[in-house]
Amino acid sequence: MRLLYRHMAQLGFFILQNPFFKNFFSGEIYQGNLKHVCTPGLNCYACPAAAFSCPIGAAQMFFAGARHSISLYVTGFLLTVGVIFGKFICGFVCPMGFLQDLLYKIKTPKLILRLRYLRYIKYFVLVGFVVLLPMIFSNPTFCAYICPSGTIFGAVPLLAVHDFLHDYIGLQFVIKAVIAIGIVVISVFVLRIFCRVLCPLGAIYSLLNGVAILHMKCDAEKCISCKNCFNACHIKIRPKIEPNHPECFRCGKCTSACKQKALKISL
Amino acid sequence: MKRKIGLLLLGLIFIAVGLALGETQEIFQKATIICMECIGLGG
Repeated sequence: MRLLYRHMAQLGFFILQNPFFKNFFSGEIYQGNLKHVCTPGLNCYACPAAAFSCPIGAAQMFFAGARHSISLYVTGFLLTVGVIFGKFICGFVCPMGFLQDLLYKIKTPKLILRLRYLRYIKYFVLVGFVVLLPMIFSNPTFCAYICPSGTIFGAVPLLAVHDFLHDYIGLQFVIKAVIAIGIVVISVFVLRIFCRVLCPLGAIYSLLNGVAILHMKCDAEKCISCKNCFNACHIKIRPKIEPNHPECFRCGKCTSACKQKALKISL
Repeated sequence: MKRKIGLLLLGLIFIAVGLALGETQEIFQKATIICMECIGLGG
């Protein structure tokens, strides 16, 4: 039941962040005042339905801009949201996470992988593709070459409506399309592959998950070390030992599996 | 708890300074056009 609540929250936040569905048919982009504000999840601002701005896209714009500067607004926004909610954003708010959760619902054999080393790639993506390469080449490199949110929610709907955009399809788009298709296919078998390996926003929230005000606690007096939580976890975290592990995106499977109710979300 | 509050305050100060510098206007200008490079087109 708790998992259903999370998916309902994800759907609600998806609609809240992308309320302008009719723009998918007209190919227009929302141009209202809400676009001044960043959204906490990875939600491409080139998506016709998007109401808010993507913080990763906005951050790159400043690094790639004439001043090659850091955006204090975006940095402060991510720091504030991360310190309050940590990776709850990934589990409840992010549209890209929601898409991967839906793909993982498809009935197939699942690969339960810990990705012990691959998970560090996202920190290199953050530093390299979001900060350094945009500064060097004056180009939003993560958006241009990697971001599957931009491909799936931005490029595909716009290409479907605007014929003139077809003339701009090149190697760059092919690279992005291959990455997006790969992520979609792998997400059916491996839980949240993009979030865990490539997402620079996930990397920021991972760094803040340990200090987040909203966090998980394990009551040592109630815990009987049955390992139900560990067995329920599809990314193989030990909630008893590390309830606020950097990779835990708060899916709630462990808290649902704990019959002793030893695992709790608290402030 | 001090560290959490310190980070939270730092974040809020950054937001306030960013707002004062007009950064949201720059974000708005970028986010309200079809940004070709943002969706991988043109390269």
